[in-house]
Amino acid sequence: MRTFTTLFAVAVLVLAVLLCPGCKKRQTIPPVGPGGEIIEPLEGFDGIVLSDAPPIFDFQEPENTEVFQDIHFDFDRSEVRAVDRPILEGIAEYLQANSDVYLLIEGHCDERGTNEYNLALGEKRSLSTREFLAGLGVAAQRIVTITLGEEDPIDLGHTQEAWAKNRRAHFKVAVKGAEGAE
Amino acid sequence: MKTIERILAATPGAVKICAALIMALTLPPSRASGAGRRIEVIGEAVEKTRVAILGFTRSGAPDNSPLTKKLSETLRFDLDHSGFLMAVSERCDAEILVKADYTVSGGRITAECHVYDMASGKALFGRRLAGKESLARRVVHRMADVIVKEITGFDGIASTRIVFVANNGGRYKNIYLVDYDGKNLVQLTKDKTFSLAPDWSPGGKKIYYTSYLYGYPRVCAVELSTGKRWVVTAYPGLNAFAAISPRGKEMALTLSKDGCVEIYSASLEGKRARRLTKSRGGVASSPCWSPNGAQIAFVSNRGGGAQIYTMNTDGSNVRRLLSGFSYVTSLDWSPRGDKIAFSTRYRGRLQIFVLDLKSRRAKQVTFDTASHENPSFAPNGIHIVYVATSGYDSDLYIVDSREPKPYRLTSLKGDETYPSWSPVGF
Repeated sequence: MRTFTTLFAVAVLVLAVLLCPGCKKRQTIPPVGPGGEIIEPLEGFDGIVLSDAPPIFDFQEPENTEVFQDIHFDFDRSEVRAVDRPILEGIAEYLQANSDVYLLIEGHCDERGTNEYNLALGEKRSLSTREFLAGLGVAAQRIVTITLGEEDPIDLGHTQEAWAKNRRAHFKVAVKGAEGAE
Repeated sequence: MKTIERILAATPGAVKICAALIMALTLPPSRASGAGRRIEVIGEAVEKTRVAILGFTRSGAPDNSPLTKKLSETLRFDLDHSGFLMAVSERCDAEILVKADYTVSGGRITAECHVYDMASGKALFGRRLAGKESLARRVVHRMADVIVKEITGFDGIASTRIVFVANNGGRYKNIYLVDYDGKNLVQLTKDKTFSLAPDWSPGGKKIYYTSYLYGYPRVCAVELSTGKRWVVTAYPGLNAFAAISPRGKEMALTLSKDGCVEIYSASLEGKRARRLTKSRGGVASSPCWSPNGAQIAFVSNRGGGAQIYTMNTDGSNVRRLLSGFSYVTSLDWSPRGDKIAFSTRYRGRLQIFVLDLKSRRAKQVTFDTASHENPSFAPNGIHIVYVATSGYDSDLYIVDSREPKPYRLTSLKGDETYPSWSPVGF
């Protein structure tokens, strides 16, 4: 009986510690923007090798703008945001239905930070978008990446809203077998 | 391309010829008295030698022509911005007196200076330099460097240039060159695309940069004496930030061909790319060699936020350089090896700091409310050129890292970015 009492007391204590919000050890979590939870890259995942790309000049603005909407990123992050998953699922579906289409992902950054760092970050954004699409079953060889860093903003403003718009991956398409494409 | 070649033929190529023509002759008997006034930079105190500079005379007589004025202004600016001398107007305030004269004949300029110690009244040394008349300012820059070296023992920066990127108010970005005093601006590329991130070869003969001329970003190089351009690397994905090793045998650069943004080493032709970094979901970029060629510093956000790391040139021994700084996104290693300049977010702004590698102490060198980025050291390891963005406009500034009194280098339309200071004089 005594043992039971002791066990019970210990259990109550443990529960109290676990449930008391003030006692909870603060965990560091990745920063979360308006888009919500961040999708972490796969453990140990180290990129999908890029293959030779069709000439960039073959890529055009897609006609189907409802499918190929820009996706956006949090400041200094390159992970795809959960809120953008439906857009990427739509793009993946489109690419699976149209096997002759190549996709170009342009990675962009806002004007803050150094130009040189943003050039690298823009490429990382397009690569993680590419990985996400590959994870949805699109052959990575059909997806080409390019970074424009902070060099080509879509919104020339200098506000939080403009910056949020500029931190984007933009999509262009090329049709295999079309004039000029290989 | 033709235009580029013409521009280049008119400037850096000519500079090369000029360099060959400039002759420095020691005028007797100045050396005997010894110019042994060497300044030691102790801690952070800057003690400058006060110099009175008499305006140029022409063929021994006072002269008011525009050329004479230009040469006098150039010499005064150069000595006053050397970091070691301070121009004073009154002779009685000066420790050193500089007299200068020039003659022009047959399209050539011959300039001569005589330097005196004011305390003893003795002549310290004299120099004669000559070159094409069209390059008169360059002859005076060379003269200033000689004077600085003789008086202080330090290399001058008057003959150096800075390469940078500008959009001149338009959408496209091209590569430009400018003398360290903001004069002699030359547009190097005239492409309707983005040309970014220029950097010098160690000897200052070539410039490596990233161009979108062929669509995808590729590392290109341009030879200044001829204007010849070529693609150095064209791997799938990003090709950028090629930095040639100090011995000129290989390069470090940023590639994304393996599906992640990492630093590679490669031959000078861009072949045999070997991956040096593994950044696990982050990026590694902006490689910068230590002057002794033993290490590479770079920027990575592998630990969450952007930080500077150093590694051996084979990718081993990766270490984080700083603690207590956040969002550190650009850096340059001093040519003297003792310092690393970086830009970091500090009190809500991007500011430039210089880390002394020996004492591990970092010192702030920019203070105003602009956003400061992309520091690049002058060959003397003291002056720094950087980008300051304020009022939605980016311009280049130069600062003596020991005393924060920056001066503006460029004032083109639009934005000037990506400055890189030449490793040598011209």
